[in-house]
Parts: sequence; C-alpha cells; structure tokens
Amino acid sequence: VTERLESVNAIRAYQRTWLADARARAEAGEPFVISTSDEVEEILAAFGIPVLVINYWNFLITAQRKAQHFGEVLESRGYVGPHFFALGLASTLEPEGAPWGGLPKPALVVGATRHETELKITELWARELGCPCFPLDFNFASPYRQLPDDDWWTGIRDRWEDLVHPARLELRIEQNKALISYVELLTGRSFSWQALRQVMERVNAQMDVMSQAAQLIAGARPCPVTLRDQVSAYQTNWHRGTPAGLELAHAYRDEVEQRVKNRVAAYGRENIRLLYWSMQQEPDFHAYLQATYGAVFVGAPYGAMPQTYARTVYHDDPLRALSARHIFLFDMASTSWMLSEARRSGVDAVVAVEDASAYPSRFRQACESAGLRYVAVPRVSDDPEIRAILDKSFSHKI
Amino acid sequence: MPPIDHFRDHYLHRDRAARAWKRAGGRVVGYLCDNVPEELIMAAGFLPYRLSGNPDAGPDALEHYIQPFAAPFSARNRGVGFVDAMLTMLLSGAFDFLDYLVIPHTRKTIQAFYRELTLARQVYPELALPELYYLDRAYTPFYTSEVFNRQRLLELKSQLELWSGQPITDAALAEAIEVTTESRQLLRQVANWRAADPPRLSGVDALQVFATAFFMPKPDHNQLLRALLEAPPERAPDAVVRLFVGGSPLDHLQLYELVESSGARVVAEDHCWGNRCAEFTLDAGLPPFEALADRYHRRPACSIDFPMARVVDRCVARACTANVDGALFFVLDNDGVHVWDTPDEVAALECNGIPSLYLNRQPYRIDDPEPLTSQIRQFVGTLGK
Repeated sequence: VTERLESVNAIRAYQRTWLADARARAEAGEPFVISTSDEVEEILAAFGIPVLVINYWNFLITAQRKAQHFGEVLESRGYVGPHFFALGLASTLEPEGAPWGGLPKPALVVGATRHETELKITELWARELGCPCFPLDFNFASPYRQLPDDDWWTGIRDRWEDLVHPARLELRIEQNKALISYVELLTGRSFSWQALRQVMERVNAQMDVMSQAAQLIAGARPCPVTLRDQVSAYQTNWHRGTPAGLELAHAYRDEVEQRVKNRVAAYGRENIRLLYWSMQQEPDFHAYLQATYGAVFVGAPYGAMPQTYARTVYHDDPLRALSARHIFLFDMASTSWMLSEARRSGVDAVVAVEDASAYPSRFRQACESAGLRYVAVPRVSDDPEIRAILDKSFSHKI
Repeated sequence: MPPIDHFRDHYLHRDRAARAWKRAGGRVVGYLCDNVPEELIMAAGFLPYRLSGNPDAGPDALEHYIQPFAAPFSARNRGVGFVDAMLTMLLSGAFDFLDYLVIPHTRKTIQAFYRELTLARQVYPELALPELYYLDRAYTPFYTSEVFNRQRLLELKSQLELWSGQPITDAALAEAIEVTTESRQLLRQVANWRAADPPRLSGVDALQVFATAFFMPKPDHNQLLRALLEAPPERAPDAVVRLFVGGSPLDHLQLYELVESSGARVVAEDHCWGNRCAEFTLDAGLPPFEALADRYHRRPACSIDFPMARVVDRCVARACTANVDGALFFVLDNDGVHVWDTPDEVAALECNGIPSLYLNRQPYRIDDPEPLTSQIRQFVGTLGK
C-alpha cells in the first residue's frame, strides 16, 4: 500500500488543530455547538461558530478502539445498547479517555428526530454538559411517503423541491429560522443572510471539487487512493462551506489528479476491484482480502455523497435550499444509486454488510441482475467466519 | 357470561368485532399507535381499529417481503418485537379485514411501514394490503409544530371524507367525541377500581379491559364497561404487593400474568395499552375539531416527547397516584424509545421512595419464564407487606 496522501494527512491534522482552536475559543468565552450530522452546520458556519458533528465524534471514538469502553460506561448507567450514537454522551459521562482530551463545553446541542433515540440522547447529553438542547423535526434519514425516482441523485441539486414534501419543507424553514433567532439571543451574534449565501456557494463549490476527486478515482486504473484515505478525506464534509473546507478539498482533488497522472497505485495488487457499500469504517478484513486475493476496495458511498449535498439556490433564498436538503439528502435504500457507483468505478463485485437471510436482498438481486457479484458479510471484523464467507466468494475467478 | 369474560373474549379474539362490522357492510380503518384521532374515523362512519401484535406471529413474512428492501449499511431497525409482529401480521393477512390503514409518524419503525408496505406491494402485487395513508406529525411541542400537526389532521379529515364520500360534520364529530369521552371516563373508573387498596381488579384483567377499547365499536365497549362497573368487583387479598409497570408497550398478557402469579398486583402502568387509554380527555371548551387537534399535539399519549422531563413526570405521577410499593420497568430488546428515559424514571421514583426493578433487553415473546419469574419474585419479596 502506498503512503497516505499528504492532503489527507493535512485534513486529519486540521481536525485536531480545529478542535484545539475551538476549545481555546470556547474557554475564552466564544460559543461552540454540538450537532447531529447534516443538520445545521451551514447555519453555524454563517454565524462563525464552530460545530462538532456527533457522528464524526462517534466514529473517532470507534476508530480509537474505545467504543467498547464507552459502551460499558453507558451500560453502567442503565443505557443498554446498541450505543453508536451515544458514544459521545458516554465520553462526557466519563471524560477520561475521550479522544483528544475531550470536548469543550458547548453553548448548545442541536438535536434532531432522525430517530426517536437520537433526540433523547442529544437531550441527555445537553443536560450532562449543562447547556440547552434545541430540537428540530425531520431530516434526510426519515423514510418518507414520496418514493424518489431511480435516478433521484441526478436531479437533486436543481430539482430539490420535487423531492421533499412541501409541508415538511415549510416547517423545517420555520424551525431553522427559530434556531437562528435562538442562537442570536444565546450568543449575541447577528445572523447574516449574505454570509449564508456565501456559505451555500462554497458548499456547492466544495462538493463539485470532491465529486471531481471521486470521479478521478473511479475512472483511474489502478485505483490511486486507498479506501482508508477516501473515508478520511470525507472529513472535509464536517467543514462544509467554510474557506478551510474548500481549501482542503482543493488540495485533495489536486493530489488525486496528480496521482492519476502519475499512475500511482494505491494498493500493491489490484486483481479484483470492489465497491464497499457501507457507511461503516474500513472493514478489518480488507487486509486479508488484499493479501489473499489482491481484492481491494476502490470505492464507497462516501465518494457518491458529495453530489447529494450541493443545492442550487433559487430566488435569493439560501435557507430554503438548505432546509430542503435537511429533509432529503440521499436515499439509503436505493439500489440504483449503488449500481451507478459500481458501474462508475468499474468494479467486479460489491461487498455489503447485511444480516443473513433466506431471502435475497434487493441489493443482491440488483447486482446479480446486472452481472455483478454481491458479497454480504454480517459484520466488518476479521474473524474465521468472515474469512470463510470471503473465501467462498473470492476463491474462484470473477 | 360475567362482563369481565366479554372483555377477555374480545381480547383473545381481537378481530372478532371488526370482522362482524365488516360482514354487516361497514368499513374498517386500521391505525398504529395511540396517537391517531379515532374520533375522526368514527365521525366518518368507519370503525377505527388499532393494530396490535401477536408474539407468536413469527418472522417469516417480514423476512420475505420487507427485509430484502433494507439498505445494506443501514439494516432495518429490527427487533422491537411488537412492531415486527404487527408488520408480519399485515403481510400474512391477519388484518385482511382492514379497508384502510393510517400510519402515523411515531416510532421510526412504525412510520417506515408506509414505505415498506408500498415497496412490498410494488414487487408482490398479490399481497392483500389495505389502502395506506401516512399521517405526518412533528415531535416537537412548539407553535410551528402545532400549526403543522393541525394541518395534517385536516388532511386526514379530507381523506376520510374522500373514502366515505361524505363530509364529516361538526355534529358527527361532536357525537364521536362524546362517545370517546365517555369511554375515557368509564376507563378511569376501571383504573380507580384496580388502584383501590386492596385492588378490586387484577392487572391482567385491567389490561384486557383497556385494550379492547381499540378492538371493537366504542359504544359497544362502553356498554360492556357500564355492565362491568355495575357488577360486584373482585376483591384481591389484602396483603397484595402493589406494583407499577413502566417501559415498553405491552400488547399481550405474559408479563402481567407472571407478575400476578408472583405475589403482586399490577395496579397501574405507564404504557400505551394500559391506563393511558383513560387519560387525555379532550377540552370540552373548544370546537370539536380544534379539541382533537389540541389534544393530539399538546398532550400526546406517546412516550416520544420533548422535553424528556414531560415523559418522566407523567410516569412518576402515574406511579405515585396509584400508591405503589414498587415499580417494574420492562424494556423490550432494541426499544430505543424507553432505553433512554427509563434510568431517569427509576431515579425519580427512587426519590419518591418507590424502589424499582429495571429489566431491559427483554424478549417480546417470553419463551423461558423461569429466570424472569425468579427475578420478579425476589423483587416482590423485598417489597413484602
């Protein structure tokens, strides 16, 4: 495996310096906010308030192999698992061992009803931190009555109004306005329409750049960027619409482009190209796949996502476009989206995390109808049972 | 037949009244959870029927028709037993008497029925499913949410009018509200009976009396309630330990039977198949529709509420009012609603001098009752009178 991209190392380093800076500013009396992902980052960016995304923090805890410890912390308080979304709460309940020295005290926790548990967890977390919790209704992950077309992602940037329920959109706009007023009162800062307009412009530019990088990776043979670096590069998304986020994205895209020109191979062998259709971390069994079969992950949903964040602003109303994105970001259950990514990356097989079932999933059916092998594993660990599944799938030629 | 036996019979045969209604030419509107205004359904001339699960339903239909649609990186939120049981029963035809089904935005796994059933029907047109209606609802208690929720009820009213082919008049709605108000009043008397010291009705019977209000025409249920309340009530042993049950919804009797065979009586509870059915009377000072809109937004019977303190306070009030000796919290495996508020409820009851037994990760169908019985007996023993 090649060295990690310098731009990715810079993104990772930026996360640490960003948090250190946010902590210093919070200790000096400036506001800091904790929020569920894909909610109000742009609004807070327009305020100039640093926001920590809960999912990112939870992934960091997981990446540092501390999920079990903090899961036990939650169990000891009576909060039985599954725990992923509450790992951050646990790191506040027992801050020893929290990543990077823990979080500064926020002015606010923004909770969402993506799942009923998430609202309760954010409320508990705010209580533990001694700050208010501001709840918002609905978000992209809510299943909706309106089923999107098979090619929904192609029109999401411009025809976003068609993809959301008008009443939910109006409510989300009102709730975002209420949040803005609340933050204004809480922090003494005034919100700027002009600043939000600029943030949305930068978001679109940043997503274009990240999409270009993903396209370069998908089109290159051999694959120029490891899955690990592709996932790490996604951290730019937590700084969407900020000058730093855009700058980091540019550096990443440029370095990917350079690697493609130089025909740099991310992996030593690339016998079998795989799409990893999961939002979980890089699977532990990836090293085994590489060493045994030269099978490597060349893509993941993270490469497809940037295009879903961009929104065309109409009628000088950036808040409307942003609010629409809050309630429809992408369709996780879309088989056509997965197939599109598989084709774009020219993969031989798709690997997904899926419970065993006597009935084939729609994803399996879609892949097999398209002539693609579909390998389902129940978890991402590297253990004898998983290896047996992989051996069965890859020990004969694709 | 003694009145209580009628309730037991309707609880055992939950579809009997609905099928009879259907045979008589009526139409049945099914709904999920306890936050759908059944008064609107009644005013439209339909029979409202709340779906409940059967722990013996088995997972096969769910695995066959629904699980394949789950995103591989976001497996369907399986495992909350009563939700899966209802979905399985819908798919396997157990609710084939439903003409329509109102799916509200409550738990995410409940609201997901809309998409899951829609997709299943697209692929398996042979599935005999009712016509679906999605009733959206904001969780938050704010003004903007009130406006949103009221508008959604107006849309439901319009849909019901479309189905019935006639307008829902204020008079019809007022009449329906009168029936449900009487139902709640009578059920409160039942709740008072079982909360008496000593209790005059077992928890097992109370659960059947409450739940059957959702399975049969309300006027018929009210008539049975009146007969029950006129009959001389049962007297429990004086020294019985008085228990409160909190946690996940319980749509079957297994837990209560275990508790009441362990030297205790369930005299009150905090879940949506019990005492809550008697609460939340509509504001008589408001016009009929506005009273409904106000009730279903401002005072949801559901535990999905913000702030959580409202849920905890209501739980504590229910336990304290019933003067209980102890509380048993029974949270089903993967129940994300109650995992997070139960520790607060346990702590708040402790502050009120009420000890608790918190049983979590519990199975929906209790196949091995011995360990559970042992835990409950031990706890009840510590509360002995």
